[in-house]
Amino acid sequence: MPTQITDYKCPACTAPLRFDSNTEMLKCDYCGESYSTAKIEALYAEKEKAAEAAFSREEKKARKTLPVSEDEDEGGDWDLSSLSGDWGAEAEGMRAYSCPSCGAELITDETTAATACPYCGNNTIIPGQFDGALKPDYILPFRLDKEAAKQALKNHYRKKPFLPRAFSSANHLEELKGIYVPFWLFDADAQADCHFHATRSHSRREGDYRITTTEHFQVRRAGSMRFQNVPTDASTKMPDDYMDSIEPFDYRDLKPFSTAYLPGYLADKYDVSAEESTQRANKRCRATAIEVMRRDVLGYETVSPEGCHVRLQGGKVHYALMPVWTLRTKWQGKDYLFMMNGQTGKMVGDLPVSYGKFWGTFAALSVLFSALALWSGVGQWLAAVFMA
Amino acid sequence: MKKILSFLAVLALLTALCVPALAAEPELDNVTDAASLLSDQEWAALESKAEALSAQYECGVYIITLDDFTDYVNTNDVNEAAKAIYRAYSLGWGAEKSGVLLMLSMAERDYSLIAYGYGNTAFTDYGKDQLAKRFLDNFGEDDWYGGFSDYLNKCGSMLSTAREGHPLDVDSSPQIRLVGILISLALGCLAAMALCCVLCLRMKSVAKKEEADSYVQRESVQFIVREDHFTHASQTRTMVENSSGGGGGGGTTVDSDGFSSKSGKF
Repeated sequence: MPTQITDYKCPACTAPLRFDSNTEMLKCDYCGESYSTAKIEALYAEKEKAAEAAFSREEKKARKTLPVSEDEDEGGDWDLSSLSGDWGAEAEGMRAYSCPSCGAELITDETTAATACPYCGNNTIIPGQFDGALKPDYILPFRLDKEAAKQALKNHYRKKPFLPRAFSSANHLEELKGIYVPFWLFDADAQADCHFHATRSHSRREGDYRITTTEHFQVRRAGSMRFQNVPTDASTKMPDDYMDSIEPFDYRDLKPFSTAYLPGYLADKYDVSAEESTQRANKRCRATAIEVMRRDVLGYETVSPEGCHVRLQGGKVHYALMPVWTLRTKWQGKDYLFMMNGQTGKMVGDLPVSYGKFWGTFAALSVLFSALALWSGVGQWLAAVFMA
Repeated sequence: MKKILSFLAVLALLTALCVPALAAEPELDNVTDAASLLSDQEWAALESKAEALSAQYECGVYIITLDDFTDYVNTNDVNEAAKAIYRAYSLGWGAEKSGVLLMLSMAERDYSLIAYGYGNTAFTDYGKDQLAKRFLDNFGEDDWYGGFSDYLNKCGSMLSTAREGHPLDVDSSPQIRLVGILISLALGCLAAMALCCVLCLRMKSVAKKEEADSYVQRESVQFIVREDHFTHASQTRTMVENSSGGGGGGGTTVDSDGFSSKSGKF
């Protein structure tokens, strides 16, 4: 059943608006006008209510006109028995919307909150996904555009001696999407109490013997610290390792959430609850708390933890949308996924290794290093030491 | 006879060290047994062999035994003592004063093996190691004559190969040379593989984060307990090889005074 969706249109020419990451304004590509997000929000606050009502009316009207009399249908005798009547179990995870621009039916999954119509390219927002308790607290607007993402991918290929030459020259971007990814941001207070075994040693020479004295210490460090905005991605669609790898985000640019930042990008609502994400955040905080204690143990040559107790007191949890560019390429039938932090430009993604280049480099370096070892006499020296 | 010779040797050593500048020709026998470790026959046999080697290869081959080298020289370094005696008695062959000296000091069971002039060419660092291996096992069992005989025999073979233009060095042993080449190849391959693996790691940039270091508020970190308690101490003793020189690439390490040396315990 179609649900109401919103697209921000230019008040001057009614063309679709998109959020421009460079100016942080909503821009019309047709007439060139730009509008602040606040202005458009205010303008559309009233329009949304009217649009909802209008959409309901249209829906009712459509229902009335849908049935077609068999007498009027003069088509052939098509056998429709093989068509499935419903989407089965998949239907539960899917939603259907009507594009307010061209009327096409948009099929999305249930977490999609902003998308673009594949027929007319209109940017559409599904406000219901961000209503009430589902409304994000913050949004970090895109600062880098599509071209910056493409350039970052090119840069990512540079200085990679084992990258197959054909990979960077022959492969093409299959997909390039700017997505606002839902994140939970956790605040927490940590109290850590850690015990370490530390040693330091000194040597002196007595006759023909070197006497090494090792002093052993029992070290304890206890203290507290505060974590702020530890992020965990709240979307099962986004791989956790990719999301971890594009960190950190600069939270100074966080803005109170507004759908006005969404046009031109895709957006998902969360499908991993804050409770489910707590474990990951706690694990990271605990590891850092221990490391902070460990780093304070100075003046020793070896420090090994003997036991640590970390107590975490959860603070506020915020729901935020973070900007991520996803780039997908295909090479030799295999998909390669890259992601870029839409704010800082940090690009991540594993690259294929050319085994020909690997072994060629290995052979060349082996010859070089072996020649160096022979020339310097290190090998002879070792042989003499062990065999003499 | 042996006792008299020993007494005279000690007397000569003490006297000569007081007037070192007067010495121009070698003033000691090739074998000076001030510690009385050898019988007369043993001494005579060794002396004759050492003299013959010195003449044949024009490089003095010497043996000196002392009760305690510190009685003769004001130093605690056995190598410095051997050098002082070498210079004081004007040891060495010809104008170049070429020679090799093995000196034993019985008090602390120290030995010093020094070379000078052509001796530095014939007795490389590796050669000295090989030479020392020959006599140390005998000396360890107080087999003085056996040790000195082995020393002279090895000196002969080393001087012989040196005069042929191939002094005994690290690369002299075919076995060591082969193993050295294999080790060099292995080291080269290992270093290449390590570098390739590092370069391979650069192809991976996706990994889960296990810490939250970027999200700690630095000003919020407070320590309430900082305790460091000393619990105990442990000691390890490691034998140190007391040898000078030892250039790994072969050749001879020559000190600024023109001597090369090796010392240790027996």
